[in-house]
Amino acid sequence: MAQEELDTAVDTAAKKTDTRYKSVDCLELGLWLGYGLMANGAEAIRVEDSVTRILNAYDLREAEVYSVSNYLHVSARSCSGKPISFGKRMQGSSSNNLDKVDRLNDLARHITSETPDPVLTLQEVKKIINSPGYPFKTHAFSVSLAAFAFSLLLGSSIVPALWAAAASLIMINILRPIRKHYANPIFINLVGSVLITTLLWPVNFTKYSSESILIMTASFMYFFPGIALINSIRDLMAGDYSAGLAKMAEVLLLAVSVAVGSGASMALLGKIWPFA
Amino acid sequence: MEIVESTFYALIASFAFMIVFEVRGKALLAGSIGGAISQLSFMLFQLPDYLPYLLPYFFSSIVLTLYSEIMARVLKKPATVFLIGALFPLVPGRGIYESMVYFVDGQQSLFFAKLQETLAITMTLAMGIMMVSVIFRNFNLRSYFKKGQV
Repeated sequence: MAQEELDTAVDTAAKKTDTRYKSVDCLELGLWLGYGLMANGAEAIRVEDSVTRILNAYDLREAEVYSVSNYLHVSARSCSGKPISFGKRMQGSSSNNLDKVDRLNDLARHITSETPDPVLTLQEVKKIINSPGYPFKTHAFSVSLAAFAFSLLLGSSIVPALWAAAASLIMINILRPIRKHYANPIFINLVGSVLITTLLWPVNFTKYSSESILIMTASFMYFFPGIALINSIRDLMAGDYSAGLAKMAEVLLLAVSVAVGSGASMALLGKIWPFA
Repeated sequence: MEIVESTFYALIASFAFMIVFEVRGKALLAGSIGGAISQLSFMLFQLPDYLPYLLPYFFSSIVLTLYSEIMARVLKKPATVFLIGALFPLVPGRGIYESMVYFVDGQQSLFFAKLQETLAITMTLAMGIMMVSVIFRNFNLRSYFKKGQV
């Protein structure tokens, strides 16, 4: 009896929503918001949790959300009982834009509590997804500043730290056009590590040679897949093994690509321009 | 003095890395402070000589995750935003690099020893983050269900 009452209440709520908003629009809103989160570096569990709550807020029945590292699938049943489902595949790897993750997360909270018009809110979601990040100059400066500060943190003196900053600045400017045409992060890490090793190699012939290991390490920190590692841990912790292990594989591949790029160029430079 | 200097450098480094990850506003400031806190706690936990080398990493990862989870609730932002900035000073970058140098030089035993040490540090950091996050996730869900938020 109680179950029947509950089913009737759910049906009534679903009908109310469907007269206000189309179920398809609500599902599309959930799909795009989840896609935005996924494409900008959110963990799979956050994507699934946010989208499920949005679909529930719009009273879509039997809402199911599945997210792995580059694919999102949402499905639900409209008030008429018709199943609807959307899938969205992300091309390439996710970017690391935590500002967009934060804004989309805020919007998800707003949607859950206010259930605004899904068509208008979808425009807002797309606006956030397509919004520009920091200007390139700011990005380049911060990469350079990170290499400088990390060199000092690891114990290097000022001159090698400045060298690391300059090398990082040159590297990021060379990587910019490559990124535009070929955005595979493994390839980018490989090229970047070759560049950093080559640009910092001359330090071995100066009085700061003993500090070369410190500035190399500091400059490589830019390539460290920190967000992927944290997301992988958080997904594994939440019991989402498929997403967690996929991310862990990405972390390992990215780390190996830096090691291969740097190791190969060190071996080559050691033959061409050996020191001591 | 060394502790103060290192903490300051960690603050700057975390600040720069958070800009790379497009963090803005209050979160940028809070995340940078997180980097400084993780470096400071790591150096303080390193002071007693009798502690095994992995324990300072473990304790400081607990401190940084606690900080990140608290800031996530205070500023209503994902914990990842704060974790990323706070984690960077503890990443065993030197270990990774030295392992690679030994590998290129063909020094197999040194390579394996360094790699083992680096992996142990990484796993320790992961365990610390995991432990605190599991506790906070349960608190998180309860409060969210109550308020009906995401």
